[in-house]
Amino acid sequence: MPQEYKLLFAGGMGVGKTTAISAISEIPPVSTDVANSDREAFDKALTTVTLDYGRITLPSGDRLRLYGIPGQNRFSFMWGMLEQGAMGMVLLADASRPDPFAELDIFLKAFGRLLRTGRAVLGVGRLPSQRGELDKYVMRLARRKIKIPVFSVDVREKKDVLLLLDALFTQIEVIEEDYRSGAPSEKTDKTHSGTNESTV
Amino acid sequence: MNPLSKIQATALQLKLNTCCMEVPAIRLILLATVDGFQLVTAGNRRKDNDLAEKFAAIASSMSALAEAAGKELGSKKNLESVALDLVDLRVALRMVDGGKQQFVLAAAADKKIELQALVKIVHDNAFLLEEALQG
Repeated sequence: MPQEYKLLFAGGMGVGKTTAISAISEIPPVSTDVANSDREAFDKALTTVTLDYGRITLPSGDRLRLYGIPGQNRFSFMWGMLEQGAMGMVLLADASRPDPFAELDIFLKAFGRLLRTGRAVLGVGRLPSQRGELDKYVMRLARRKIKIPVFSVDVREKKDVLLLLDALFTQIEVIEEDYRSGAPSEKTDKTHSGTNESTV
Repeated sequence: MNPLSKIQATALQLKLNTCCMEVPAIRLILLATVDGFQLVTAGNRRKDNDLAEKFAAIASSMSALAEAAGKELGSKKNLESVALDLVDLRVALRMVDGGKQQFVLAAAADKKIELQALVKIVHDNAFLLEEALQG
């Protein structure tokens, strides 16, 4: 019998949560975007103030319900509500932001419990092409004892978002297999880094 | 980034202060941008800016969610108002047409006031604020 799963898309304002969900949703996404009145802080016409919602059906018939959080800190009261019941998380970051790591830290802290279970992936957008840039994100996660796959992505591309989901499900399968076998989780050894091409 | 001129802000503040004086049951009433920034706030409780900021964000989320729900259920019109009836609290929101941009007027009140009455107060004040914003 097909199952329903809830996935969370998290990250700061403008990292592409709405875009990522729109890229893969098989239904017109439910959007709560409104006019952004703080164009000095972030030059973006619209901003999400409650949630995004989309859905995708897997070849197995299982359905993924995709929830995007509102990225601005003043909407953090929504984060815990949206996190409830989520089987995993796609965390997004934007490397072109003035201080992407400080922004990322907000979400590493807010969703630390889910992230530390390993049921998550990090997608970094607009990453500089220099070697080692992605490793900085891996190290940032490691400082908070979070070991999840990290990818360079363009969330406007459906294939990149599907890559993140694929990696997330692989990660979850490994964790559940370890749990079933009673072995200590080896998710730390399954952590990948590099560009999306090198990790597929 | 405040979309209100000083004159507008002062005029709106006076109107919200008057509303609070006339209706002691109102704990907090505020005008916020649709993306959750408080602009003008009045209340009959001790001033708590953190609470007002949070209420502005919540009002923005509630109105956006209500509008999304309306669209999903087939409504072709924009949101007008939202009302919440809690065991010990009543909340009403209404969209305010500011001409160039939309705002949200939100009020939280004790149970001493009927929900319908609170909705009407918010409606009437939204109308007054629209006049001040567009006039």
